[in-house]
Amino acid sequence: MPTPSFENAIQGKASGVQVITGSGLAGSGSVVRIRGIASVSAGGDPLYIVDGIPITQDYFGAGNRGAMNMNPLSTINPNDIESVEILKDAAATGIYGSRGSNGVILITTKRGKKKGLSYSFNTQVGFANPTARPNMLNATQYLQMYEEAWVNDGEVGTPVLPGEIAWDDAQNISTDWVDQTIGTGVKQQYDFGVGKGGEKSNFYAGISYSDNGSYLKGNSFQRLSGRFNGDLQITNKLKGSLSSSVSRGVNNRVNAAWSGGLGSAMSTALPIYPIYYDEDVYNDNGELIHKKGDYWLEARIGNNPTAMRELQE
Amino acid sequence: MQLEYKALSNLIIRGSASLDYQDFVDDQYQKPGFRTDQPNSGFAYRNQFYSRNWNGNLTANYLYDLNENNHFNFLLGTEFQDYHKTWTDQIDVNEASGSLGDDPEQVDPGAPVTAYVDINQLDATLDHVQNLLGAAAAGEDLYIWTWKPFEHGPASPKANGLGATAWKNSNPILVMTDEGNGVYSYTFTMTDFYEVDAATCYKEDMHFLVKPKDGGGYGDPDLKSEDLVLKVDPPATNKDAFFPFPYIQVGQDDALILTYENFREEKESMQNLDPSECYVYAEATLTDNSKVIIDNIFNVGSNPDLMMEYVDEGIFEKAFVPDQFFAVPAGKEIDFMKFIIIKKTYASGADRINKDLDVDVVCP
Repeated sequence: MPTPSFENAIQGKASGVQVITGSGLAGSGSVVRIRGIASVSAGGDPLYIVDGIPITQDYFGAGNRGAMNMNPLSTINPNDIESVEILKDAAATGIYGSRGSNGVILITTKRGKKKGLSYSFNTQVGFANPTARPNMLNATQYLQMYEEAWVNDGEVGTPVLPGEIAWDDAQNISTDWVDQTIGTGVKQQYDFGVGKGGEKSNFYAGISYSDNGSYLKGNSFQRLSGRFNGDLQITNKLKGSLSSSVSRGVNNRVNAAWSGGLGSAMSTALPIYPIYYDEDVYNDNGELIHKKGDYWLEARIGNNPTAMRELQE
Repeated sequence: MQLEYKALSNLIIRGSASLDYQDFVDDQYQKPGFRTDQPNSGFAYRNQFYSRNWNGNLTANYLYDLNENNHFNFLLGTEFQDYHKTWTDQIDVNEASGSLGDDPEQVDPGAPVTAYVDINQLDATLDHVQNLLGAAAAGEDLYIWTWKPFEHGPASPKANGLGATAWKNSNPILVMTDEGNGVYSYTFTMTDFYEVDAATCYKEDMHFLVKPKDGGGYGDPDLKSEDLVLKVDPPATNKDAFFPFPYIQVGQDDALILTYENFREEKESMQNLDPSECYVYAEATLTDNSKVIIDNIFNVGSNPDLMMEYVDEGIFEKAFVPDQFFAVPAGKEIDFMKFIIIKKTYASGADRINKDLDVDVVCP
């Protein structure tokens, strides 16, 4: 299964290391715990070292936007990684000081090994679907429950519905907002690498493109990355090494929580709310205020997840 | 980058340096219709920061083999790491109102505007910002302190601070409104407050910072934000993608040209129309309130007279004389006309542009 972020790939492969997929959203980070959860308030993320260098791993560098964070680890192409070593005990992490108190993950990227040029091409395709979907009431069931609640409250007459929807109109609407929000995400990844080894020099160059769609409609993460690693034995006693990578990631975010996302679809977006106006709407002066096909926003845009997704990029 | 020097057979000296640079841009565009209070306006926001993570280390590693089974490994080293996160200056201004920011909806210096500042987005690595955040967390009011486009003198009732130690005593008229969650706002009319003309506002922009009433100073640690800038630009001409010529007025027996610049269309479902796919719904209201509709909206696509002519890449035009086009009966006159660009196959609101084009007809 293509994974946009390498920490997803070590899930289940390192004994004693907990890797919990964060949200399943495209490009989102996972929770990695090497020494368990030692603190309620402090962060428990391990220190990531790539080719001997501690990397930036500030998930919330730009804040938490629409329940989605920015995952700097997703800029690393999993296929550029030669090996991952996980340091757990205090002695092993000692040289990293307090930064290594939550454990250390040492990542070594590929370098040229074999004599002569060697090429590799790798491609993967996968799909993303939620393992379980909530069963939501349809409009008929909702109206039945609403009517019971109305009577139990001691009210009489035709129930007054939220969103100023007339009772008769509500009978003709049944929107499954979860269906409107969830789809099948397609994941694909293409990697090409070339390497060459020798007695005095070696190099590895790789380029990769991945497109990860999540189970939320409109949510995807694309990454284009390149890497060049090289070693040169300058003299018998002096050796130089270069590790470099450039990566561009585009995260097409959608609201994932209660302000027009899946959270709304499962709670405040009611099945009696339509997605669109099905006819032109005029005010008392005869002026056209909503055209047929316009998004229905009488209960605020946050309660129309389809409009929230389509009208916002 | 790393250099490794083998000084002795068992002594290796390694030095490495690295730069990890990340540039995060979060763009958000809200299409027309997203905001029910301003349905014809789109809003664009940008949040951006970049980070630089410098690392350097120097180590000496000596391997001492006591015998075949026992070895000592001596490691001596030093490491340097410096992490900076920088926000662009516009990011310090929260554009929740749509009136301010790096893509301002033309801040009008002569009309009331509300400046929003989210103190959570200030650079908390600065001591004076940390002090400010502490004061805000303790419930202190925050005040605006501004010096451009004009700074009022100490004798003015609009001075930033009062008394001999002005920095410790902000003017009460400059207190900001606590909007919750670390967001503070201040509403004012720029030309009235600064007592300068709009041109000066456009030229100088608005420079300000945020502080508690007592901003420290005079030997005490400062409590303040970094300097913030609100860019104030003159209004741009926003011509719609669908427009008539003549632009101002037209007579019913004058030539009228309708131009639709599809390459500027913001509605996604109407973008990149094929040359044969663009039609116009046309309706004329006569002075006696009767209407002439050439074809109803569902039949427009099958009427060749209503097809827009493809003239250039992404541009369609249609030229006609209104009274001939609408076949206005003798003795009657057109009061105004309405045009809507639609696709050849019209099935829903997605197949039309969002904004109708209304053209008034002047009396001959």
